[in-house]
Amino acid sequence: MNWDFIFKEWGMIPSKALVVFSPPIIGMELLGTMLGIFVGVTPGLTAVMGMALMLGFAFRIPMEWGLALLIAIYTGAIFSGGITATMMNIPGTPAAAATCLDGFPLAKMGKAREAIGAVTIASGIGELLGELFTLISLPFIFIIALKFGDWEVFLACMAGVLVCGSLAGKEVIKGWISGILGLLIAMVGMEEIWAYPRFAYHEVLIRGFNFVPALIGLFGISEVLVVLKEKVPYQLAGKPGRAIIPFGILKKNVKNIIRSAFVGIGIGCIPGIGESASCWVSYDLAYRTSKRKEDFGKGSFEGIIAAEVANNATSGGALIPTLVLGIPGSGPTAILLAALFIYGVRPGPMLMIERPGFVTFIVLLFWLSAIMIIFAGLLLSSYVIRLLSIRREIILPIATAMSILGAWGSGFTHFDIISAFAFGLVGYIMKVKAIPVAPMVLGILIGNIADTSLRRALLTYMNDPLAMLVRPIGIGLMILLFIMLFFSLKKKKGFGMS
Amino acid sequence: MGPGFLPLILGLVLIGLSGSLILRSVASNGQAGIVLLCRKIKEGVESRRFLIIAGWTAIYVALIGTIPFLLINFIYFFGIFLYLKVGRLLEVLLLSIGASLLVGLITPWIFDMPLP
Repeated sequence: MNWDFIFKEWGMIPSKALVVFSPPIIGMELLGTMLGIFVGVTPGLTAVMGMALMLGFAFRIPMEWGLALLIAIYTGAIFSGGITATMMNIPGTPAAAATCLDGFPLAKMGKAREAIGAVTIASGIGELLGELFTLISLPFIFIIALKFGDWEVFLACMAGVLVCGSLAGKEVIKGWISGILGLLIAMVGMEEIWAYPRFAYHEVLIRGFNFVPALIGLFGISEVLVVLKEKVPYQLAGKPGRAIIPFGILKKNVKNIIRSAFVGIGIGCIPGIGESASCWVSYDLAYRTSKRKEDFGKGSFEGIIAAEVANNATSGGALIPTLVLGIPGSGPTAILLAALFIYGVRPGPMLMIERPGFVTFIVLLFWLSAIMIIFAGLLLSSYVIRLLSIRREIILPIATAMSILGAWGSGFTHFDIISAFAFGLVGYIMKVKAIPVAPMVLGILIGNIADTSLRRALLTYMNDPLAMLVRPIGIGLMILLFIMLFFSLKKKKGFGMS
Repeated sequence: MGPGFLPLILGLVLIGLSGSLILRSVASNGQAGIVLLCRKIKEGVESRRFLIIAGWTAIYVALIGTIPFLLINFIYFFGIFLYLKVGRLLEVLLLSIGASLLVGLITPWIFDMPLP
């Protein structure tokens, strides 16, 4: 084990903390947190949409500022989705879906302020714990990842699609179909080894689908269509007021908090699944282990804490595949990945060697945003709730037009606009038919990596394919893959969204 | 290794998985549900609402680049706000002007981006 390498990274915490706590970065974090809270609170607007819209702006400012802005939008949105879930029984973002089950009943009982306090503190703690784990574990994981070859990268990609398909939806087969369709969409256009155009039936398809419009469409426009088709007006469950920290309840939930943080981190590590699944898994575990099962679904603080700690801790876990392999752990980390590429940072096993201190810097940015959401949640919650009084019939068409503009900004072609809208329609149909969107997004994101890695591995080991199959890490990943396949088929139905 | 290698494998897996879904659906007399679904779409208020909103957005997307961006945004917002009944005609007009200025002028100016 190369301990020098590990201590060098950890030793950079003080110097990077000085950069993170500088006025411009604090300013960007503040702006990002406010924007994130706005998109998180508004049903139909998601963290991905908010981040994608700000990508164009982020590229015009220094990298450190841009990353601070995007990370703050990410954490702000994931946190504030829980406020809408509590006050209106509608998840502000898909990650807050499990919070509705207990947040809304608590608000109806007149405990809205305590519930929002629990959401705020649980979110902050989840974020802090998730990133702490990432900071400690990432240097070790980078050392292991340095041993990855093309074959192992391909297997890791396949494991991601397989698990994502199994966990993200009610039915395993639908999840896998969604993932495979995503992989096939990624293969449209010029391939990277022979520069051969695949599925290029029209000249615009030679370039392939840009993934930012695809993400905007699948996560953003589809959500707008789902929300706008409903005519039922929003109603707040309680009066808006400043959040109260339920210290006694938090003290009783220490075990729940730690367990939920690990669930969030673990699910974040699996490419593509993200916070929308982790909240359900954590909620389910909290229910199974609780001594007061009868309170779940009727207003249990345990349930809120489990869901909110997990969905925020997921961002820490999601950073691991994103930074180590360049495979995004969730939708928002996919946008973060796109930003890193455009800033000239190439995530992968060599990242820590090429850019010492970069991982520490990213983790510190997440910590700063965790502090910001705690303060924003406690001090501004009553004002944030008032945002819910803005009619969605006004906000959402504007968000659609903004999304179209965001898609245009990703490549300045009319094809990106059309593909964003087309993916929006596809996403809508998938949501209506209970087909999970997350595996498709993951497929689109990693399709080219998987394809290039597999073919490069097969070309390298053309004369001796057995040598490729007996690589130790590869064997481990294949065993893992078969175990996952076995349990997915045995279970038939994923526990995620059910 | 040819560029069609992985798409071929994925295509075959997709056919297998989709086939199993179709077989399961046919086995449980799922085809009867298609008529029911079509009727539901035809009669449902939400489906009609979705079709109108999506259709109007499709027209907006198709016309971007052929009509000045500010104007097409105004037309889109005016139409959709009117359909969603966000207020009286004057309110709709003012909101549409404000929204189209935000999307078609202010945002591109802030981000210094060329218009479609």
